[in-house]
Amino acid sequence: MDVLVVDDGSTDGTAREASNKSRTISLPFNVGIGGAMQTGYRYADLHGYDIAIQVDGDGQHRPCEVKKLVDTVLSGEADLAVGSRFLSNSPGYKQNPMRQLGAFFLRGMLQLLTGRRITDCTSGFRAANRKVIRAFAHWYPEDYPEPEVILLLHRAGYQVTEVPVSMRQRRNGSSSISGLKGVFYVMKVSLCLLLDLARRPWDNAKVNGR
Amino acid sequence: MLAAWQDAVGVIAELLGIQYTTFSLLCLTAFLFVMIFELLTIVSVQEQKINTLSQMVGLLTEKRPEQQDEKQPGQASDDGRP
Repeated sequence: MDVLVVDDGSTDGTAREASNKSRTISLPFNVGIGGAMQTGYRYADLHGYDIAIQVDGDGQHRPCEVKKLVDTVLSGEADLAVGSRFLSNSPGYKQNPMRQLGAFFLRGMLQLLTGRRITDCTSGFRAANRKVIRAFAHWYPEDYPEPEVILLLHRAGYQVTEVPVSMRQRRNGSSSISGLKGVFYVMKVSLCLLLDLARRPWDNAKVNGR
Repeated sequence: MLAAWQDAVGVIAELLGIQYTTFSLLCLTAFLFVMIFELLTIVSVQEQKINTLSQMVGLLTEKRPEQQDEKQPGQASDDGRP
């Protein structure tokens, strides 16, 4: 398994540290979470990887859980496997009430739009197969992309499944969507989800026939 | 502009042959909205292009651990850092 670190224009020497131990892509400036994620998927597409696993850099996701996601994708059960902290017991993980409310709202909205129950739509712990890697390399939402991606994949006919995983509290750094920003996040994502309904679904033939 | 030149609405209405001056104000507002929308679209497209270019720069300057090992101690890295 190859590890790729995407350094999204950080100024704390992350790139230098990471490049000693793993493949590292340093973006010349901060392009946001969507752009950074897409860089990783473009890399996977360019180098012909069959499966790409997306892991946040704050220590929430346990490497030992990666196998569960990979097995789900390899079995053909799903094109994208999303690790859900709410389908399993994560004793060391707690969400504050505001986050719980926001997650509840987004979950309800996604259920309404897709007809499917996704318990952890903001989870950044995911495994994607070749088809999804190509789709993401072709197009990926810019801001707060996790919930939007689920809707777009669903509309394009890809299979999205959740896998129970345990998560930890973040080890370092702080969330970029705390306090009032959280309210703005929920409003923005909700609007984006509604606008996505007006957007034409991804053209699978175009994406996979490149 | 309208605050500084208060007769502007009347002049614009006369130039455009609009009978009711308030209607010219609506037309002006609509024009400004369209212009802002057009500029936002251009900015958005340019932002997308810049992001794609920065991704390409990142992909082309990928660093691997073996590349780090090949460097002599004290030798500057590709980005100029020691």
